[in-house]
Amino acid sequence: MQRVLIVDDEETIAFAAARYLATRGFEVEMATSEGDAERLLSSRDYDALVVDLRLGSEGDEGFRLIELARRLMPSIAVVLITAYGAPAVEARARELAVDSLIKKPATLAHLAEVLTASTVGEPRDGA
Amino acid sequence: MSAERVPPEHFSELVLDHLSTCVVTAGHDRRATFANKIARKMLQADDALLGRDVVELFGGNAELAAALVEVPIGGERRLEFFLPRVDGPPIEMGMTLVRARPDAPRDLAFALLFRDLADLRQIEMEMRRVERLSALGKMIAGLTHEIRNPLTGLQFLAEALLGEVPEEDPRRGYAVRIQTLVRRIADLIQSCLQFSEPRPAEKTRVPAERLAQAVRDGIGRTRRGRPTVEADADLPAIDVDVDQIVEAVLALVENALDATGDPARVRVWLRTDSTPGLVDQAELVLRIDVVDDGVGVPHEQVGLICDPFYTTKEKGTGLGLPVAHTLVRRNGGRMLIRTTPGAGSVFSIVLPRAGGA
Repeated sequence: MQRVLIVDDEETIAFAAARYLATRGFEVEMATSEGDAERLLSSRDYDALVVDLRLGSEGDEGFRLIELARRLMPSIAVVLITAYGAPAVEARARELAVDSLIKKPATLAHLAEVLTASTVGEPRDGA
Repeated sequence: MSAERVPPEHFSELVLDHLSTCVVTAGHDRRATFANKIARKMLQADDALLGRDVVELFGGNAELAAALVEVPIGGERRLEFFLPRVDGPPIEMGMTLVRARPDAPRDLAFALLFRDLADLRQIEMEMRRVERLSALGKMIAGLTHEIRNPLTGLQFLAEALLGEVPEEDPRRGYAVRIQTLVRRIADLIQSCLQFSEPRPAEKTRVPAERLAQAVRDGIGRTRRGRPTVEADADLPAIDVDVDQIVEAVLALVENALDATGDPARVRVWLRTDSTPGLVDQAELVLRIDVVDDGVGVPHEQVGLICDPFYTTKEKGTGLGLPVAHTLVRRNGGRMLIRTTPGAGSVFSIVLPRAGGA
């Protein structure tokens, strides 16, 4: 089973995504702040990280989490969700080798599709 | 090495010909003694106007005749009047009439400085519009970004619900309807962003003829009848994102079709215009006029029709003209609106010639 960490400061988004992905066979954990996400990423391994770009006042906290996740788990799949589709965001996402960038408003069906495509056949070490 | 000396009178003529204000001088007998380039164009006369009575040059204007008598020596008078034209509606004219001091040469007793107020008013209105729309654009951009988060939450909840409610449960219909509404809001956000944050213009240098063809092709795709597209000969090349300009022209055409309901009464005309100040310092601009003889726009609405969500139509989104305006600005152009209630409108896109001035 693929283990996914979903991070969004809009609690409803994280909650609904977690419920939905769970019914689709993913093992999901959620965090609604950068600090919570950091603790979870440091404590265990994940196959995929689904993260909102803006988690606080700076607006690009998601990038910091992606950097951390990549350092800890080089092969983790990363889906970045954002309400701000600026060219600079897209460029930074490419630099960080983000697997998929999803712009809000999004659908869970699309998120599940993207997650399946980016994690299939690459289970987490020791899974 | 000695530089060629320019005789002083030639130098003044050279300077006067480059002014954006029309200048005509007259002697004590009211007969015209000089007219700069733009004045000759405005009065639709060449050198033949020299020696003619200035009042007659302005269509026998009584106000001007009176002012020529009343203006004190060394003083000035400000006049506004309509100048009749042979080829169209009269032009609203603003004039400063100056009377020289007694020691001035005999042929320089009066100076008439004037300009078309409609152009000036349209440009002023356009500048106010730019300020207003930029403030509105920022507000809308902020608002739409804020809406996207809760909207995504709603969509996710509806999908999660559908994932957990059995297929045969009729209550699934609620979640489906929520999704339909979410999509409608998402579409609205998309349109708003086209106004507040359009994609950057990808400018290339194109001959105006190619733009004219792209406009014809675009009109051909709209399936609302085909207004004629005319392009004058010898049009300048322009640096623009052709797709964006075509989209803007199509929005103006759409608007004109709504005003007339008849493609035969709408005309797109690509021409040049050398009126100074139309687009900053550009000497020559390409002007795309979308002309209709429809109902026109009431004066109290002219300042509002480019505002997002302002619409007088039953089915309008109120985003056609604001999006067109934004796209034109992104391409370094301006949108000018001349309208006569009951007689029709001319919506113009003016774009600087390629390579600047």
